[in-house]
Amino acid sequence: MTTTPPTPTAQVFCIANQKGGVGKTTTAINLAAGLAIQGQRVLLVDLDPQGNATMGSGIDKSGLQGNLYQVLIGEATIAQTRVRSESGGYDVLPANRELSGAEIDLVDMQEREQQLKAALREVGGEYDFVLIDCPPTLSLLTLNGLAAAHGVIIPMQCEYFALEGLSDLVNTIKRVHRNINPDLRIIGLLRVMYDPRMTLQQQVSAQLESHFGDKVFKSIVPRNVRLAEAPSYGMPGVVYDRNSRGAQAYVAFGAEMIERVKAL
Amino acid sequence: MDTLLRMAPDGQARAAQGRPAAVPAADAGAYDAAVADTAATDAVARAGAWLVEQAALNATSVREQLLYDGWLLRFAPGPSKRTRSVNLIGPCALPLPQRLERCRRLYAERGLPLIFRLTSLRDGPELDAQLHALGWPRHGQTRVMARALDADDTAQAPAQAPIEALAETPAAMPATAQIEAAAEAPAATPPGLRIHTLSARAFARALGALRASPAAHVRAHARRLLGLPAGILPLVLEQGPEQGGAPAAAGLAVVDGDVAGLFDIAVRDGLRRQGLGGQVTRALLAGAAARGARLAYLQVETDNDAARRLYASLGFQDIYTYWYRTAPAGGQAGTPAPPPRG
Repeated sequence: MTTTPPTPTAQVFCIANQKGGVGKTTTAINLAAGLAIQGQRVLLVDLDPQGNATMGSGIDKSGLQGNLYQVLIGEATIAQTRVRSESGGYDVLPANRELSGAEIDLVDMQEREQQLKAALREVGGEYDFVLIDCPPTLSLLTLNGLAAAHGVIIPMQCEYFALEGLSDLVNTIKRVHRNINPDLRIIGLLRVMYDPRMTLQQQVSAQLESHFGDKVFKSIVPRNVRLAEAPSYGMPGVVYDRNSRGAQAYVAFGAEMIERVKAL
Repeated sequence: MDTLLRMAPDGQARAAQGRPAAVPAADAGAYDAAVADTAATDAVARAGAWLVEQAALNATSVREQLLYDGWLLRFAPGPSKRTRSVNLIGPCALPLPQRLERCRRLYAERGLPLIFRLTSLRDGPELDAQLHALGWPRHGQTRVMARALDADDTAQAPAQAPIEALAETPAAMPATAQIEAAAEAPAATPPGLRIHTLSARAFARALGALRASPAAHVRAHARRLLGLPAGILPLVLEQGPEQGGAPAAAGLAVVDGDVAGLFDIAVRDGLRRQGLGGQVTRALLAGAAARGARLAYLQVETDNDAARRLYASLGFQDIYTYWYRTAPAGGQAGTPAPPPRG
């Protein structure tokens, strides 16, 4: 892997939403696994100090040699830090509680919001996709993610108040686009935890389609207990129960992303 | 009344706040989503508010009602205007004077005043303006507030009998969960309060005791609850045996698919301002979430500041408004003046 020339071919996407508990980490893990199943080389960056994406990929966050923190403050490279998710078939740049300290350490650094982007440059040629699981806060960590990305994937539930945080997120993306990263764009909204029996969810889903058009992904991830169970087995849902409706939705979403990237 | 003015007539007050009016042209390519975002938020707010309005009409449905040219006429005598008023639910074809004349006749035949319940949704404001022009006085401004329900709400649910089993259960269900004094409740919360799920009849009795309602109203309320086309979760907060086991507070959730309405939240005189209303409301939210509701709404009069503060503290936001207009005294068709009830 380390001998591959550093051509920046990887498409880098943030999975972001300023609400917590909307399925960001589930989406990050399962999109990574869904892309890997389809032969894509994937690096999943866990930008959340809670380390849920790390654990959900089957990696013990307490036994790490290094983590994203060392990469962000320049003490280690991604090549030294990444770990293979054996269950998922992709690489993980892992996180644990130590990462929350990066907020403080980054403040005094030059180009503090560009650290992740700089680190990714060295491994860009080794991957087709880099997925960044952002924390639900607008922190310097999230800013590093947005600065490094080509686009943002926004998972959302079709709930009455689901769009409430979206304005803030869109405004943030706009600011990052203008000031830090002119490449950044919203790739699309992904409907997750969808229950078609719910009238309200159907209505919200229809409104999203009519107002956001092709910015709404065609794939819809249903509310699915197998997806919820999978992290406790240290496996992406896509691997844990490949035949579940949730797994199939994420594989389909992976295929949709591969198509979208061709059009970018 | 300044809060009233801030509510846009189409129910978009919430959606319109703090959003960019327009996106600079330079950003349009990458950020057309920003414009769609505002429009979609408004559209979701409107669609969701209309779903809530439908659920609220279901939750307050009455035995005798009539659908007439886009209007839903309801004829349940009693203290509550929402069950004896005309609601706009669809497009109308006939001329307004003809429609009003028939309504006057139908309500007069039943000895009821002709009252319209008007909302800030859809064509409500237009009909409101027409009735205003005819000199119909406006009263009873009410806000509909809503909040999302999630897994955290479910986790707080007291164990309860299935909703279907409740409607005909004659007596109080066994005590199911000790209410724990909520963190924000003042220390004065009486100890030993227990929460029960009740049958519709027992709930109506408990609510009647809290509100000192006449027996006829209690019976009518129980009958209406039993006839509802939605699941009901009637709760009462009861004092311990040492206080005589009397109801201290009560509240009702009506679960209509993924939307749950909270109604009849009442606290006994002398036990107010001790956090009991909040405890009942939280228990109702938990029960509704456990039954699959994803959105909870309630109706609160605009000038009821204490209740509005309580519900706002529990995460409820304004989503739309309704109010009443009553045919003027000695009006065009000689309709009798309505009693000015609250």
